Amino acid sequence: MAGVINNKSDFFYLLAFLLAIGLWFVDTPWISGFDGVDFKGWQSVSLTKFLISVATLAAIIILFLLLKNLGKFEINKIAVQLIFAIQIAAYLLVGGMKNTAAILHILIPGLIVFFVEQPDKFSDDNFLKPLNLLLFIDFILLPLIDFVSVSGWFGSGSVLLRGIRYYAYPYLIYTVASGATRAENSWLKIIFSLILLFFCTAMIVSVSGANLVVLNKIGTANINDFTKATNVFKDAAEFWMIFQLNIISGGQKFAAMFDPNTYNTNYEGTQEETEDPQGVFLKKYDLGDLKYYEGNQVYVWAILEAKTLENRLDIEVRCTAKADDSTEEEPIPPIEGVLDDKTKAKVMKIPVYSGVTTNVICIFDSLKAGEYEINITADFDFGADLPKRIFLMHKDRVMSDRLYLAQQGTDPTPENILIKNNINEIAEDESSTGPVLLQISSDPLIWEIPYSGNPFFGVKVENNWDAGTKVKQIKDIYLKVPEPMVVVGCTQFDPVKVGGSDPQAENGYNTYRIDTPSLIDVEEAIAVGCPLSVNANSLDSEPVTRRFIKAHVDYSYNLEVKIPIEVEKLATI
Amino acid sequence: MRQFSFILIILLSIFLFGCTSTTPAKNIKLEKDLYKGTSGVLMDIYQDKIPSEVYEGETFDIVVKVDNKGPYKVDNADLLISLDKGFMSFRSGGYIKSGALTLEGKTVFNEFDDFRIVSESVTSGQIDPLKESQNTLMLTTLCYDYKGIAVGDVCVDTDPYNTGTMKKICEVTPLSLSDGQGGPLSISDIEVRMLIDQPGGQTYIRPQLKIHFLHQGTGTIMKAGNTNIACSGKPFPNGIQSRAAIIDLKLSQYGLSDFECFPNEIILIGNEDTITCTLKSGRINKNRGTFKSPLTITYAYGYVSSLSKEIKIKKLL
Repeated sequence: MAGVINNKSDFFYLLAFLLAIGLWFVDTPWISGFDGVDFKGWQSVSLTKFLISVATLAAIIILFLLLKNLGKFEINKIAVQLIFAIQIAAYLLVGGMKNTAAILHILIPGLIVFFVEQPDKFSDDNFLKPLNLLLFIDFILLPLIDFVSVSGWFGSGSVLLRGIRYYAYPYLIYTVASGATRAENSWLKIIFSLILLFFCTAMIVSVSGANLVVLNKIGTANINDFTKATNVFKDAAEFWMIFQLNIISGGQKFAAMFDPNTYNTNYEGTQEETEDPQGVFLKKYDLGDLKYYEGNQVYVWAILEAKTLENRLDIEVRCTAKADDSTEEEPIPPIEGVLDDKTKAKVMKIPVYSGVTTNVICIFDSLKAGEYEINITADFDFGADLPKRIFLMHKDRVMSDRLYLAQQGTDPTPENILIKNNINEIAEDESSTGPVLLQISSDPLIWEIPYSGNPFFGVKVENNWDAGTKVKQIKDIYLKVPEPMVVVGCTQFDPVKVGGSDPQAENGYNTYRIDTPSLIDVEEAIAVGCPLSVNANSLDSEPVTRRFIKAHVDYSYNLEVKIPIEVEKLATI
Repeated sequence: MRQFSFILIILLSIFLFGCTSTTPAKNIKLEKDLYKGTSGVLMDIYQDKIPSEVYEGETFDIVVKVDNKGPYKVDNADLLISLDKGFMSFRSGGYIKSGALTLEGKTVFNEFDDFRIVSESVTSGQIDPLKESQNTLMLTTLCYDYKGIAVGDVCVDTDPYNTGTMKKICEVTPLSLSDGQGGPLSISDIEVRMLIDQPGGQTYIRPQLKIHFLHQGTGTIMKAGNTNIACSGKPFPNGIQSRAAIIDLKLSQYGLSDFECFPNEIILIGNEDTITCTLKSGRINKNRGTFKSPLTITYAYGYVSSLSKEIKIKKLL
């Protein structure tokens, strides 16, 4: 029998655990190119995992054959380290290990191994067996099951994948129970006992829930007291699964903090060009006369067109003349022009309720001879609305649809799942309005519920008019998500949930306002990315649930046209 | 008396010839003739009744026709109509409606396609203040249990290697059933073979049927008895999609329990599957002689089909 493991070996174990935990956090970026939606990608990743597992298994067998004289505990240690080494190499080389949940199964025996104060623990089968078993299941058996189920071999399908959720419990219970019985510290005993109680309850609930799912396939069940009672277990099982997913997504979220691509704010939505844009337009601007002379009135004119649907639009028009010889060193203040010859008003206010076309005449009473640039500006506050349709389906249903399509020889992409459900025309959202282009993007076409992690709601506000115009200020951005979804935070900005008194509050939606007073003079675009929390209550009682996420933006816009003129001196006789 | 005899002859002539039809007798339609086609239950949205564009607050009717084109009764169909929440609603409230339907099948006495027309008033809602229009989707899903009955004549050849001298009354030929059995899942053809088995010195014939199934519809096949799951948001339990089962098989005096079928369930892969059913040993003695017998195969499955219609809501300017 091998003796007590020395400190060096302990260090190896610790290092392996720490590496595994670290790699778990950076798991998502390593698997770039596979988003969990592409079925072929899924199969490809499964195949990679499968091959790695086979290689690991072969290496362990060879190791045992070569080192059988060393004693079982020494070989055991080396085998465990070999598993870690191969899996870590796989992480680094091909991103082959996608099973983030596996770390939970390693953490528990890890706790026992490093914190149970027993001098000869590494010589004890009761410690090493559960640890090795868990490693074997997580790193070798799981990829094998995964590959077989995804490949659809032997008529397998989602039952295997569903079954994976439950396999770990007996081993976790066995491991934690070992810890509880062997820990010398009474606090550790209590902690392990509590963990044991938690896992026992979770297993009973989950397994009873799983059995009910299987029972359902027999046929329509009458709603009797037994069914109602068992449904309680089923709901509890669902809750437990969501709890597990949240633990995993929490880690992924933490990892995403270090990955700039995850919180990428450069969302590209789709928006068609509208045929009848709203907003304000300055058209057909021209000089009032062919030549201007010093001492005479100078006037230029333009046609202003404005259109709005429901909201009143208030436009303020101004004009200025800026001398061309004005420099930064010797600035000449621009001269304000008059927009109403009778009242001499320098600001023209135009309220618009539907549509208006009016002349804007800008008059300068006395301009000295020289070259000028006349600026006619129209400032107005405006808004834009845009909804985006999202599709939600139960995760297991999407999975069975994918397997079904794959069996039929059809590429099981989300688009094809929707076509299978005869949603042939996926309507693209049309342009809302005017000078600001509002774009919404989100994560995959079909949101699988319960969602692993948080789907993203991205909004991009872009200056759509490029001829000398700018968004003076973005006042606020509203995000509306259908109940019971909630926004859980946004990049750069803090969303505030608004109540019914807010004009943008809408029935059936959780509405969030992002105040953006600092966003002034936006030349091109700004973007906001917000993760959402979505649960199974968002699903309707139909195969594919449809919802809309909406965005609204309020902004001030500055429209400007520039007209060069020359004022000549009057010729003297 | 002669006059009476003449009248009698005239009356007899009328009696004898008056009831004789001058046209040939019409063929009597057999029940098996009904089991044709690949339609099953069809669902149709009346496109001309539903406008493609409506204005905010407008009320219009959506009309869906569900038509049983096949010969089998449907008694647990579930029709689900759903609208885009927030943009359209049923006048009676809500945005999802579901209802159970029962449709009679065809019979030799009634070849009429039983149908139901479901009409619902829908009101378009308000679109966002700064939007000119909004595209919305109406989705209808129909889930029902259906079956198929394939009928044909099979020649049971008790001397497949022609070792005897008796003249056979028929030859073993494959059955082509390309016309379908009235539903989207059909048996396209059956290959027939005669296996010989000799337990305990006796020679028995085991007819083997290689049954080819073909899905010719656009919907999804599922295991019968799951309409409540298919027309809901619930996950499909494993082993439901693409599944069907043979529930009855009759050949001569033998039933399904006299056959060994492998696999025991129809699992469509690429819209096709094949099941081989072989009569158990010890049933047909070689000495019985070659005979022809009707074959009836009944299979059951569930079906899900759906349709969508896009409706644009425009702002009333």
